[in-house]
Amino acid sequence: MLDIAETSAPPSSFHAASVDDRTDAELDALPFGVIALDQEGFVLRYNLYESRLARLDRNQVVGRNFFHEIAPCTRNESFQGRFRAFLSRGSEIKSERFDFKFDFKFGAQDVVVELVRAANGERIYLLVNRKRIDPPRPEFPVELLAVAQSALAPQEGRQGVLRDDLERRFVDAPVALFAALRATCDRLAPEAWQLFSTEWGVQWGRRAAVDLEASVLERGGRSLREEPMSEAAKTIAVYLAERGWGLPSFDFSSTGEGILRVDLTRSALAEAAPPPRGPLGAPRADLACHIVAGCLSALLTSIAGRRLVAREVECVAGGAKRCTIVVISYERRAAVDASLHAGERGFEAIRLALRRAPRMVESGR
Amino acid sequence: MIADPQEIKPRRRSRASITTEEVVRGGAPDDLARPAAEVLAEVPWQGMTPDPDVLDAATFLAWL
Repeated sequence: MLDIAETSAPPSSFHAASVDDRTDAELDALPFGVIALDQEGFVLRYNLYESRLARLDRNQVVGRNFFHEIAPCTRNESFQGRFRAFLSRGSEIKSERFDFKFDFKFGAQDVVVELVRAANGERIYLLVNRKRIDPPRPEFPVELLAVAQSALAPQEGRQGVLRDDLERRFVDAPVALFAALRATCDRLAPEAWQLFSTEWGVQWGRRAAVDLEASVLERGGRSLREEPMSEAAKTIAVYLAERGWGLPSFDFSSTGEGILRVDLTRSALAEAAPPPRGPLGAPRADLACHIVAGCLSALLTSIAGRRLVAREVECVAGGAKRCTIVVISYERRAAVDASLHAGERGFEAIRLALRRAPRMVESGR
Repeated sequence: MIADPQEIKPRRRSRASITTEEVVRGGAPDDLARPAAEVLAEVPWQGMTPDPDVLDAATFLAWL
């Protein structure tokens, strides 16, 4: 058992002044748009949330001029004029905020833009908070609409590029790809599988949280945290089911003792896993759904605003009738991990282990 | 003949085809209608206080 824990803490609180110090991965976990421009307006950085709401692939956006090639709707005094004035004032002003409306072919977005100067003064960041999304404005001049992905890469459909309805590129991956990944890990680093796949799931879940926040905004809601609990749970379930991972169902019966139960029906990972015993009878790992568990960890941590951890406690891959995942506090994960490491399986066994575990002091949110 | 990639669409279940009843259970309807962040904030994540009448003495002492 590797003595390393997966990433579980949510990204630390964000301070606009430190945006230039953030890695691209950190920017991708933020629930608002981030665009870095040079002094001429060429795009240097473009985060996941902005890419999702603008329906543009950052691979085609970075390196282009924001005002002329990406968002002609900003080529006016109220946006580009402010940008130029902000530049001309040098370091005397670190940031400035204003309201604006982005006009896309697919809709008009009311936003609050914050201009932030990087410490070296060479980059200006646009922090874009969406407030409301409306249908397209028919009176808005077509030639000034923000660019569409199809215009940035018009022939990509014939270059092996697939996009979904929101212009996100995807790979149509068969389940066999995950079976191959598992087989590779079993051959080269069998002890690393659980940690690797859980961490992969957490990293995916952070990006999925950004995607779901954008979806909630597009449906007219405010944020996933403010959605009714049943609707938020359904949003997560639909997200996973639509992508073919199986159908999760959330059971709140045990939340009174600090456990949220999630059953996963027809898990793709469980069905792609090797049999629980190898050809020579050697025991193999019997839990297979760590990626989905990691994803749930990150999604529920994002909604709860506190560290939560999800662990699969029984799996179809190990001969169980269903795949069951428990969601617990970060502080109580050690009791679950010890119980699983000792070979205990099933929701009731883990619940009993948690009841018997010494009470943990919370380390804060 | 190779299909035009533009025409390839993954098959997906529509959102409407999955009902809340299929994916949520075990909570009071009034609670589940409240904001998700509020509901999760009220979960006693540190675990419940065990009832000594239910658990055996050794388990209860270990919990203490």
